[in-house]
Amino acid sequence: MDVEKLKTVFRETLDLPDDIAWAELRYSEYPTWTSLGHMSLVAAIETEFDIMFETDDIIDMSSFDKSVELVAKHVD
Amino acid sequence: MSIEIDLSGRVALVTGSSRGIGSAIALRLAAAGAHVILHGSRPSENLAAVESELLAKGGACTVATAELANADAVKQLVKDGFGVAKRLDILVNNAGVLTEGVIGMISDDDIQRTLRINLESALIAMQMAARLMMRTKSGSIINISSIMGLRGAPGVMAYAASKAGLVGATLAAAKELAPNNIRVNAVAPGFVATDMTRSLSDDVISKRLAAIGMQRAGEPAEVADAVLFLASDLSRYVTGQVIGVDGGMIV
Repeated sequence: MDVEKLKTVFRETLDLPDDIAWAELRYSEYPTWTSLGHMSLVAAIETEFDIMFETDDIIDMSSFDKSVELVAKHVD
Repeated sequence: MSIEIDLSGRVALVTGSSRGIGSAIALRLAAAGAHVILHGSRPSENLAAVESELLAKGGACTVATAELANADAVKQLVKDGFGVAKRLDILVNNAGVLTEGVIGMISDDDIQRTLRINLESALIAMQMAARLMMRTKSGSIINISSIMGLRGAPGVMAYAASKAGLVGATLAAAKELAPNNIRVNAVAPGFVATDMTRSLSDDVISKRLAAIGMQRAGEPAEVADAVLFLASDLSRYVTGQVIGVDGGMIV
């Protein structure tokens, strides 16, 4: 799974700075990662990786690290 | 000068399009150029006939079957629809069952089945479609409600509840999805001449017709025209609306 590609999607969708601390990036704790931002993020990830998450995946996607795990589940 | 509605390049999923209002909607959208995903609960002569008619008229379609009482089947239906051309522009939640029964005599199974097919499947399809439409930041979702969902009538409590639920879902989704340029509207037909309404008793049919200002039943194509408007760019600034197509019916 291309983690750098996922980081690019996160950066562009959530308007993240280059020096973002990925390990600390969590849903609802970063100003742009709101519920609406979350759905835009999901759409962007699904488009970029040509996958479709299950609803439970979307609910579970609570951090960047968790996102890596979930995307990997679909592409690897 | 004339205005032409052009849906070419767009993909539309119409649930319950093997007959009645659904087939009329599918044919209208296809005539406007959309690639239509025809849906039925199972392969049937009706579904094949709609496919043949649509293709004979120069339209494009894909046939899909799914039992809408099964949530996973609904999700797969929307995914498959998207898979046809990697896009989904129009979702018409039309499929429905009409259950009649006086209060106190409606079985639990009938209540559950009516809500599952008429309402729950539509909510699941809306969730899936909205996610796919967010990718392109555009789309139109049209829920086929009913005048019974707005006004009610004796003998159709479960059906009316399911159709009223669709109105609530339409209003809520329209507000939530507007920032993504995804429009959500509903059409509320009155008494339309279909197999579903023909199954009603003669007494009920007579009462319904007497309540219509235009003094006739509607035609499926007349509902389809309202859907075509909502599916097209002519309604690009219209969302969260319920359009009655009822000939001035008073219930």
